[in-house]
Amino acid sequence: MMPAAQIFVVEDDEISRLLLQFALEKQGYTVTVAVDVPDAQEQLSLARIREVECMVTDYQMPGGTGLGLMIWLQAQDPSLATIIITVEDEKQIVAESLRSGAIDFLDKPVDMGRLFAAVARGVEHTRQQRRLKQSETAVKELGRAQERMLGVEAAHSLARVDVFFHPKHEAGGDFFSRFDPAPNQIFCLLTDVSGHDLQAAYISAYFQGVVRGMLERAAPLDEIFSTFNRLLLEEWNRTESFGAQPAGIVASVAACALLIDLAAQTATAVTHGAPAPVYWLPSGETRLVGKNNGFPLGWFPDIEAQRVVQPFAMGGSFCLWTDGLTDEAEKRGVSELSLAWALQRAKSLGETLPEIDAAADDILLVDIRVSPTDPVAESFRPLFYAQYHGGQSGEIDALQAAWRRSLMLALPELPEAKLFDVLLASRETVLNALNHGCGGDATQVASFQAAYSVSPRALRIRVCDPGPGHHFDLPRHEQHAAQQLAEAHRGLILVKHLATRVDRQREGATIILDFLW
Amino acid sequence: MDLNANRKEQTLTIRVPGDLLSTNAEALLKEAGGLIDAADRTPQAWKILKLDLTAAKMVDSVGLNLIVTLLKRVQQRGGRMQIAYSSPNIFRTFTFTRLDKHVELVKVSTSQQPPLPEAPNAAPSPRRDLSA
Repeated sequence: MMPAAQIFVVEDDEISRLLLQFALEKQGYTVTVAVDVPDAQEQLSLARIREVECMVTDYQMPGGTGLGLMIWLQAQDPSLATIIITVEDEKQIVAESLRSGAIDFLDKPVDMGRLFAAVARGVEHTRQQRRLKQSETAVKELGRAQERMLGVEAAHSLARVDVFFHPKHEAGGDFFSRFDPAPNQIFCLLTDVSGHDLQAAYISAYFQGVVRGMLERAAPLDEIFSTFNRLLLEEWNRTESFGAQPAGIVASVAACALLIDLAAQTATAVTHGAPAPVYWLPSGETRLVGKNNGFPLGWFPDIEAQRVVQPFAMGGSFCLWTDGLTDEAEKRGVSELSLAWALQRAKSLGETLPEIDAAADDILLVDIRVSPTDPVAESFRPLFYAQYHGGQSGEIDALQAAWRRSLMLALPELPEAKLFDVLLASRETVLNALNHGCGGDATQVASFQAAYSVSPRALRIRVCDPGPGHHFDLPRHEQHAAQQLAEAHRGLILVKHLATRVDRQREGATIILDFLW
Repeated sequence: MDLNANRKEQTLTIRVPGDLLSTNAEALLKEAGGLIDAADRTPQAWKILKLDLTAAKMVDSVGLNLIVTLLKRVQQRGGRMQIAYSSPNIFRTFTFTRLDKHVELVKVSTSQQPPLPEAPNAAPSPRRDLSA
């Protein structure tokens, strides 16, 4: 049973004060009184304010007005409702009181019926505001707990895990955890539950718990995901909440799991509706582990996971992210990897990426470097990974524009002249791959990769096509093109001069360009 | 992209309103050829073809091939070719490919450039003022 609400009455006129007190106590309220503003302020310590659920105050009193008292009170506790009693027709005071936050006003002489109705509304208003405040505090605490857990999970000796989390709301459904199901095994799980509320946060945490429990009992990944899909469909999505009417899909979980086996030097990636992880070598060579498709858990009874086993080398790294990063990258017209680097870098500098607060969704991004203590000769990080088919040479201007935006976002310090060199050399190399390596065939695919090294400062472009390549005597062709005004081969000549270093592999079917500055 | 041309004394100037790239080179070559043909039909002879690339920030290898095609045509009729540029990257592109040995590169500072008529997509019919 709810205890009687406590009402605080401030009235300098003794008769009026006693009448108000008596009437309200008869209604079952507990009433405390003050004789003027200084007395009220003295009585209303912070702890005391929290006990009061409605204040009824006269406007005109010695030592200050009821409006001034209300403004002072709101600075202490904005949730407490105030009702102001005025002399009839003091419209200016009424208007000012309402603008300042009074929930109601009463004319003198006070109509008891109106007083009781106003006080009841005031008490309800205060309780509602305090409930909201309490849940807001709880949500904030949950959000802080999520961030703390992300940080705790990051520490690990077999792999260095860097987590970037940009929540859109106080608490949400993006979550990452890592644990070791067996010696020499690292399991990483990234989840993204639909919604940005407490339910999403709860489902995400619940799912992580289910996965962990089943994995510790040696259940295969596919079985774990099938089980949770069934749970979502048969129990969670059957009704929206306890006793509610059945609703459509109310919760879905996009997930990406990565099981790294250090002994076997393999990583098994299983994704359900989440972006496929990216794997890269210290040389910057990058590949997508799986494909960016599939459905999240909770949509359909039959699930088909994207399951890929990726051999890895020591010093290799993985990057996982939720679709909030993909959406934001699309909005900016940049690659996900360049945005990922820009976010990580801003975080390391204690800065915030401009306009990131306007992101439409939570962004959770995880870098996993296996065996972080192993020495590596190079340390490139991918900024761009894309595949283009042979029919796309007519789109080269748009592709180049995307490279430009991505590089400018990821490497704002890159000099304009160097950016020009990178863009023109990349354009020539990609056109060569599409027109010759892919033969202009839309069923053939070439890959374009850009990777960055902090020390030495370098940008590496790698273009691979499926063609056989061909032997090419560049110095002879260069001389011929210059002297005979041949109308060919200038692309490779340009590339040679624009890049700091050119490495042709597979007879030129793979071309690696380094740019130092 | 619309080219525009004008003739002053013995110089025929063709102005390119942007980059010269694989995606527009073929159309530009056709259009430039048409402008040269039109100039050749007028009684006054011209000896210098000046390709105005001051609005260009990038010329790729296909764009360079276009220039080589025009250069050959100019050389066949006993003329010579000038390239006006503003961006240092355009200059580098010509020197890398040694085309600077065949054409005269003329640096034009940004403040010297006459304003471009309109944005390429919004441009009306190209001006073909060949009477000057």
